[in-house]
Amino acid sequence: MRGLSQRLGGFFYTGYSEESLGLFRVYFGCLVFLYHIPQFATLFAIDPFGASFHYTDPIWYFELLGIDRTIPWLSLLAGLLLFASTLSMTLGKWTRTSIIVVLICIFYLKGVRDSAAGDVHHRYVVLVQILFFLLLSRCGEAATGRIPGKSGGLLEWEASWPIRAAQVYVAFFYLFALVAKIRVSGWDWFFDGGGRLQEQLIVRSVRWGLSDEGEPLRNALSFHLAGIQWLVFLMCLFVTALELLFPLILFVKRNLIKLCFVACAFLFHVANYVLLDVNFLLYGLVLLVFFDLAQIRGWLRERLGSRVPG
Amino acid sequence: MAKEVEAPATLTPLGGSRSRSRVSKLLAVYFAVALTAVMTRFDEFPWTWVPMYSTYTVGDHVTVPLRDKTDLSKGLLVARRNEEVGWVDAKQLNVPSRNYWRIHLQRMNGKGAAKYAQARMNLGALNQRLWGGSRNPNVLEPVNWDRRVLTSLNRTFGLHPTDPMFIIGAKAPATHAAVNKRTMKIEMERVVPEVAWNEEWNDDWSD
Repeated sequence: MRGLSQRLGGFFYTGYSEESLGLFRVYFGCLVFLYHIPQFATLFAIDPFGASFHYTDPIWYFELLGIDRTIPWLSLLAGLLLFASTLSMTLGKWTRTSIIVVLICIFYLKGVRDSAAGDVHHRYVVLVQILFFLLLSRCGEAATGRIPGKSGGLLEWEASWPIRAAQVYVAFFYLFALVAKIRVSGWDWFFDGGGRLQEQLIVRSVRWGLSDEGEPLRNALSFHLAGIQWLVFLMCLFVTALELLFPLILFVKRNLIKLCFVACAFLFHVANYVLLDVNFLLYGLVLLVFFDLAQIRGWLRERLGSRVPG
Repeated sequence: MAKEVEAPATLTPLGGSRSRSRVSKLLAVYFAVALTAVMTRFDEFPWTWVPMYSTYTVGDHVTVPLRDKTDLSKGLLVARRNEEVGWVDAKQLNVPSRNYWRIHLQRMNGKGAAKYAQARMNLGALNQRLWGGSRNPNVLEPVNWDRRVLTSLNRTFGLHPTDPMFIIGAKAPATHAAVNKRTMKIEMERVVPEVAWNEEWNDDWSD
């Protein structure tokens, strides 16, 4: 038991510096800033002083708080606040307060988006967990560059645990997705002809309508792929292998092997976006959490010299 | 080296102090909660068991409601208590088009969000006991969408059941494509799903 505890301690509390955490905050802040745009853009397109739509199926915390309709102008205000607080978090200004505001705005805007028709989108789940780790960490105090002659303000363990915790959650998210498929649908999901993947390719291509020649108006490639069952089967095998093996990245030390894992996962998200219209493309950039950004900056500096900001 | 051993406190959001062992406890609790959500099929933001796209039923055909611009821009054909008939569209409801198509093509067709089937399909014995009556694995769609949609329409426009303009029925004209998964042949069908207000629901209407 003591051995396990020491190993876990060794994993969670080592490996990253103050600079790594500071850079991660900046990188993650920029990513989240961009990520908000495709997620909430439609909420800002409605008439701010138009009708207040009464939700068909409010999200659990709206139900709890008695929020049963949209207040269009409030979505706009929450959106502005979200972008401003994401920016201040990124810059390390009032970081904890900013992260709290970011979280509140995400909860509100996600609630508005999902409650209208009752869908549960999972696009913010991982990001919110990472924000939670950053909230409890000292990332706001973490300097993004070393000042010569001055020792760092954060210890290795303080800088490491938020990044390590984020890595664990991201890695197991893939494995849990595989477990869920097997629990809900069994192996049919993968092996009944083209399984769910074939069905999804058909739905996401045909749903935009057909031309006079009977060709899907959009995503025609997805439709044609759906007809090639052996290829769909291979794609299913790729998904299974990726989701099953991805947590192994936590035990990998060499950056090149990590890069292979991340490249496969990134390919998976790009394919989801291109073939299945899954609005999760930018999520792939979260995978940089598996690398030490201070190391990457050092590497870039070696090659590009003074052009890399300090 | 001494600095590594004697770790000073780290600030908490509440301004207190937290040592490394407190962080350990926090992480233990956090991951225990996350794992419990996975084991119990709990899927309420921000916790999840990651069930996206997990449902699949064996069959030769898949039916796809088309997101036809003409149908969706016209909106729902509604009948009012005073026998007036007219169209209500996404603009009047002031709802984003990304939400509206689901109401028009899915909720009007009695089909809810994927979360209901994901929570219930092939529910294990342990989870059946845990969730009890709130999750019946034989009823994958436990919501009365007719009532939800009509309540939503009427409340958006501030209409009371006694109001002559109260919406008592709605139709959502659409085209469905039935695709044979083996041959990839497509057959189109025009459908008009309909929902109607049940006057017994008036009693539960609260202002």
